[in-house]
Amino acid sequence: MITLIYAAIAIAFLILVLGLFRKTRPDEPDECMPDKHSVPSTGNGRWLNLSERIFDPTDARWLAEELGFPKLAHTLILTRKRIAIHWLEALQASFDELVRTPEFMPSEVPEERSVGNWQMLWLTLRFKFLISYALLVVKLFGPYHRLMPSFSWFPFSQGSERRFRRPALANSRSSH
Amino acid sequence: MGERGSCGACPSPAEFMHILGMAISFCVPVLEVLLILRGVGSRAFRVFPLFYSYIIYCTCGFIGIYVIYWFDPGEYPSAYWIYYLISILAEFTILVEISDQIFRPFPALRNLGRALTVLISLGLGALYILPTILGATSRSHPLIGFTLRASVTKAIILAVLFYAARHYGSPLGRNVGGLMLGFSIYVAMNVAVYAGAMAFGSVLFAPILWVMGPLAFSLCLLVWTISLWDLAPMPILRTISTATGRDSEGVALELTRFNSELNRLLHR
Repeated sequence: MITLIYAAIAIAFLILVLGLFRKTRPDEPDECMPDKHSVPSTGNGRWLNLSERIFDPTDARWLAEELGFPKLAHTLILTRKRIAIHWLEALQASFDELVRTPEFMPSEVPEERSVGNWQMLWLTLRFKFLISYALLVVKLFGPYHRLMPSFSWFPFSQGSERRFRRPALANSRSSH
Repeated sequence: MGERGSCGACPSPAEFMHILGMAISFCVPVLEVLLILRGVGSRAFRVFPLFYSYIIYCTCGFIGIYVIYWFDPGEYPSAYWIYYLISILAEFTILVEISDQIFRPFPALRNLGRALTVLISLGLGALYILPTILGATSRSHPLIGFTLRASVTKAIILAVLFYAARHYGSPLGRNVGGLMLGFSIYVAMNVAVYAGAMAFGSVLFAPILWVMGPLAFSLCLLVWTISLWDLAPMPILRTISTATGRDSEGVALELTRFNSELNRLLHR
């Protein structure tokens, strides 16, 4: 019985490999790539202002508490929730596009800057984890719930951020 | 046995398997030397250093083992098993090489493959492979079990790497694709053969192992030789326009910006 299971594993593995091998042929378009038309750039100031509006609970509170329209406020919160999910998904798609961008002139020989590569991988995984968490929280509790953990206690993340912070700010200023 | 009666000079099935196994075994160093010579010629050595280190190790090991076989046959079994067990571990360098090559064009993911390979190897090594040796009662059974479970682990790593490559749209060039395909054939054959050996016993299965082991590795080497005959550039490097490509510093800054943006949102 165990032989059959292992033989099935071997055959299934080969079929899977051949299937994936065919699908990763370079001439075929990749369906995993996000639709570029729906992905805004983070360098766009209007887009960032939009995020501040989406996640700002002031107007919903104003509707409910000061004007006395709780149902309208509830509808607004539901709409904002949908927009917040869309915004987070767009941010994720934009990030995925960045991650999938190949290097301009990669060298033939593997690079020695492995520490920088590990830091970039850490930033990538950290972002993927946090955006998934943010999406989950927004889907479950809405856009005005604050339940995000801070990773500032983690020394590696602090170091990597500090290292890139100054040029990043300079870059963001120059892009506006 | 009946056949032996009709043809006295014909070898028995076991002898035939032994001769066939030996004949296939001798294809292995031929292909390995061809691969090394071609690697020197095409400068593939510089691009795939871990892979060629493994091939050189296998060639030297093969020659060493056969020297022991001819000059000191009594020491051969233990020497073979030591070489074989080290080879099983050394095969993980192929996975590290593949994982490094898959994401090489993408600065943000350059070490993702290696991280996946190391994490899965350590996790399954501790929970799945090591128990076969630690809880062993006989001698031959744990060796086959160890080989089988190591092969299953390699198959899992390969499947994860294939999936990750597809998910991130990494185009496997001819060289890396060939490395993956050859190693997948070898690993799949090992899983099937060693599962049979576990089920039917190593003594009964020994003649089949004698043939199938070298056959699997010869097929793998053949695929590797064909795919690495010429050093082919990654397809993405040819097709990508210079306007969309970035350097790694730029990607690092963008990654930091995305993280800062998300942080600002999360800590509002």
